[in-house]
Amino acid sequence: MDLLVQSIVNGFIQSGFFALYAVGLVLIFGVMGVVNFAHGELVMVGAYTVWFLHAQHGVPFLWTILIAIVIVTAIGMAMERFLFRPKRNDPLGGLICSIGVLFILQIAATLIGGDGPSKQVPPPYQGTFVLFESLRIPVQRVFSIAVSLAALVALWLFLTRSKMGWALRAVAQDREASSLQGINTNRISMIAISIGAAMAGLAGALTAPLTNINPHMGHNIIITAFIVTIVGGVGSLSGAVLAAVLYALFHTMVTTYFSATIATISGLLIMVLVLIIKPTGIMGRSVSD
Amino acid sequence: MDLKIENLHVLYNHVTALRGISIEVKSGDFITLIGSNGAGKSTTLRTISGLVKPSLGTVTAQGQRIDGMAADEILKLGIAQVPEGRRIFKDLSVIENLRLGAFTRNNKAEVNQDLHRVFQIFPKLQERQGQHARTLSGGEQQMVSIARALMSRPKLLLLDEPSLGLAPIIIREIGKTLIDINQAGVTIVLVEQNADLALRLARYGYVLESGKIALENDAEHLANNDHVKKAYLGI
Ligand SMILES: Nc1ncnc2c1ncn2[C@@H]1O[C@H](COP(=O)(O)OP(=O)(O)OP(=O)(O)O)[C@@H](O)[C@H]1O
Ligand SMILES: [Mg+2]
Repeated sequence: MDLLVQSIVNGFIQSGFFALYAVGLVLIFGVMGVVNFAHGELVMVGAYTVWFLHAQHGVPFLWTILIAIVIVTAIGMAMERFLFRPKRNDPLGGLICSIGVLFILQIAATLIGGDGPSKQVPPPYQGTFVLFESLRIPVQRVFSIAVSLAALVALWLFLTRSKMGWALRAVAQDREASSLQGINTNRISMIAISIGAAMAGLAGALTAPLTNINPHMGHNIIITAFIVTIVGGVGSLSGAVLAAVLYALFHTMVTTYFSATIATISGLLIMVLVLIIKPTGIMGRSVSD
Repeated sequence: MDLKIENLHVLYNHVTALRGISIEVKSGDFITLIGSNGAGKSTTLRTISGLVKPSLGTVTAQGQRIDGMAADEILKLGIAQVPEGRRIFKDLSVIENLRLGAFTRNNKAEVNQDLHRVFQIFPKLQERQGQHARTLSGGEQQMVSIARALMSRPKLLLLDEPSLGLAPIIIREIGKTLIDINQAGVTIVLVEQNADLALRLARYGYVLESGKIALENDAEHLANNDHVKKAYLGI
């Protein structure tokens, strides 16, 4: 029983990360029509930034989160400007470019951190909350879920309450009709990838003290992001968030009672089933909902 | 807004859609382009709006060359389009659609005033302002498309088959609205397959056939032309 409750709580905390990964992928796909295969590597760069600056050089953790966001956002903006924009009418071209970025970032990480064992960042926030005597939640995890939630709420407010947010959803639905309203669609693409990359950088920074950091960590992340995105309905942000919660719970449970490998394999099976049975996902329509 | 199209040629890959058309519209005028499927009517409007680049020829608005400008820049000059097939943002609410029509305008008071005005023209939209646009009927969606274009306060309004798929009573309503808008000083270019309607609304008309202008004249004269009667009015 305790184990069950504990894994539900862990699952919820994990869902914050899953949602951050997926939301960025959905935004970039929705607005720009590109499947960003390098998304996991953007998260990896965020984690490396914290490892390098905080764990290696003692820069305060909170500062390194901001720096990670800035670096990863800059990478995202460069991808848009120099790869995705020239390939705008060629989604396959954009996808192949993103795979190129994936390798470049992996190699860069290997050059900076070496190819040895995975790196660890000691949790900056020590201590554990103990609830109901047996439920244990490390402070570090509470911090990460709180920040993830805040970021998701801020994104939601931006998309639903601001003119730029409406414009972004409009471009995701109909690029041409948006330009007929005077919306500069290149600028909106830049905003979309900036937000998506910022979320990835934030996720990477938050996850750094809780995970093994290595050049290949993006692999599992992109798999998770694909599962969540497809189960949620490609293009649907609220679907992605809901699917992130469900899949994180599922993944944590299966990991607790069986193993992480079985959890990921069943996740992929669920994804395939969704693709066959309900390709629009559990919510699926567009970035607007 | 004065608009001048000269010797316009448009190529889509290898298909020639327009082969040298010239059209002149004076400020405050109401003109129509009629023609059958594939004649090049939409291509003409899309080229004016900057969605398509001509391979030859020029488009001039108020003395300024606009061919080659981006669509969002052209909108800012005061040229709005109600595109073929409505193209409203279906997963956004009606009010969000309308406010996006005013995307480039910064004076909030004026935008709210115009919102009030389009709600007077289309009271249905006010009732449904919070609803997702996809939940509206076809006619109501067309109203959103027209209202959205009006929200930019255009000087020149391009409409691509606004009557398509609508009930006669709604077509009549939209026709009246267009005349009101025109009388308020907005220049109108109306593309229609419903030639009967178009020639009743417009002052002057062009008949497009396979990417060329086959005929042009005052709308009244066109309506009495034998060829037009046979080919487009079904009389
Ligand atoms: N994107 C495109 N790619 C290739 N050919 C196109 C494209 N758009 C239009 N065409 C071709 O250009 C020609 C003119 O098309 P256009 O859409 O301007 O016709 P239209 O007069 O608006 O017809 P309709 O009344 O059916 O809307 C047609 O032969 C069409 O097949
Ligand atoms: Mg057409």
